[in-house]
Amino acid sequence: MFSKNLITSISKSGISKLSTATAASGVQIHAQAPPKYILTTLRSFPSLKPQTFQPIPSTFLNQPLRRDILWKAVVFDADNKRVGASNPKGRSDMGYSRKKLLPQKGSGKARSGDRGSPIRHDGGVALARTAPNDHTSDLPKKVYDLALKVGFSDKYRNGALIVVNDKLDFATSDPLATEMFLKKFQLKNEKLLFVVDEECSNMVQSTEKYAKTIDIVDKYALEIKDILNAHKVFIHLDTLQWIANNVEH
Amino acid sequence: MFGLTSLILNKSKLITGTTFQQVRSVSLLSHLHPSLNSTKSFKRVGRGPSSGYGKTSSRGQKGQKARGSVKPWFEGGQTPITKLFPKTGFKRVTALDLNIVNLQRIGDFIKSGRLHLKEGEVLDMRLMKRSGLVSGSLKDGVKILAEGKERFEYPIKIEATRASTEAIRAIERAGGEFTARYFSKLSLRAHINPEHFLLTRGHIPLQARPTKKRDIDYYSRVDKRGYLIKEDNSLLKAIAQAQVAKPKIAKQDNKTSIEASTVNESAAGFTNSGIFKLSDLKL
Repeated sequence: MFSKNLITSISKSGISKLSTATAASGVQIHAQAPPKYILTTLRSFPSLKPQTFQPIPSTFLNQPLRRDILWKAVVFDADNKRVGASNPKGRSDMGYSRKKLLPQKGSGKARSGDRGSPIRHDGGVALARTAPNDHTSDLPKKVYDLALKVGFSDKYRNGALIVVNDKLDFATSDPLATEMFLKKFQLKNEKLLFVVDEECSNMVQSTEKYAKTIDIVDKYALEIKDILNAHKVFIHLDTLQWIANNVEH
Repeated sequence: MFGLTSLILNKSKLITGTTFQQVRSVSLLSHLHPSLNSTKSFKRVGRGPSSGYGKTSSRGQKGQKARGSVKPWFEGGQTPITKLFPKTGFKRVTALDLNIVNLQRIGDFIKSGRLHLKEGEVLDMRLMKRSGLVSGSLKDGVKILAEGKERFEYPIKIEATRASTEAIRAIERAGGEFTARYFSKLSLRAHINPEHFLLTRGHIPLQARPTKKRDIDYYSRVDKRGYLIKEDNSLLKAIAQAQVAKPKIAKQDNKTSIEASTVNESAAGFTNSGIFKLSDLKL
């Protein structure tokens, strides 16, 4: 009965508050300062042999999961991608006469305006727009940066962030290189993201067949959706550090 | 298999107690949502009765408010408050719109490493803007105020439009220095972003001199640490000279007015005016 009461007493808002609330205020007994750094494994590429550990600031790779922040960043990107090409015809664009169809009084019918009136089945669109329509929205850089941190942290926690210490490129442009890589690590049906900061023509050519699942993104063009979309994120340590230095802490 | 065992384990299996349970990895993308009550859809009026905003579109029945709008100051016919009382006072339209920077903020910036001053470097408004000490638009300049003066302990040189007496005292107590400097709107822009002027015009506008009596008086005050008196500016000398000397009027007896000397002694202090070198600007 107690548990039943408890469940019914927690409302939807209560749950969402609990999910985003921080720990109870006041220092708890045996409280320990959270670690300032967390360890990632540096790997070689494409063998992915572990080389050493690399400490990364917790502020970058150990952010708690914030779905609301990720939502904001994803919506912001999607808004700014919209072309806004819709160009519906308004009442003046329909090419009909602007003349009032019926006299205001005495016809025995309902009042009516002109032929293009939006109330008619073949009339124009009320509040029509002319392309290009601007759908861009704003988001503070701090919020977007936090979303990047949350995205990388989530990948890190799920073991999906693979930090590489070699050049993020294959030795050859042969598609076989990709095939072997995917087979060896059982990544054939996974979506992969390679965040690169220099030319990697071999990688681009070699992965052409898998263009649907393998995403190669320049560090300047990285969006939060790329990170969330991927099952595994491959990134060079320098690139990761560059991103960490460029986001606001 | 090298090293990736952990990855593959994560992929398909999750250890719960002693049994292995199959889990499906669901993309986070499909489980994002805004925080509670942070979003609101807009009201669509006049779209039929089931919407709740049909028929009268939330405007009630009949009257001015149902048809159009009532002016916000209209009080139903009684004398509106704007007409009730006589005008008093005035607004000085030339008053400067100064951004305020407190000593607390400067101290915090230095402490957290956001503001790093090199040896002998002056914290001027350009640096304030670049370090983020002043954010947003900077219209007429910066006034330094004394909040947090008790904990201000950095011996730094500060230059701004103005500073309060207490702020000046705190800066100097910490071993620093303050100079109040005059900037016109243009010269402030040139001071903050000289690169823009070099790119668009090829030159940087000269530093403006105060022309209003109010400004000249302010920047020649010792207690305000005005730059005119502090740096013994030539403008101040010129003004002092102009007040003492009177232009010579040539005697009319022997010479015509054209022959008379046109030298105006009051302009002696302005001999420094002329073309500046770029290096003089110390950018």
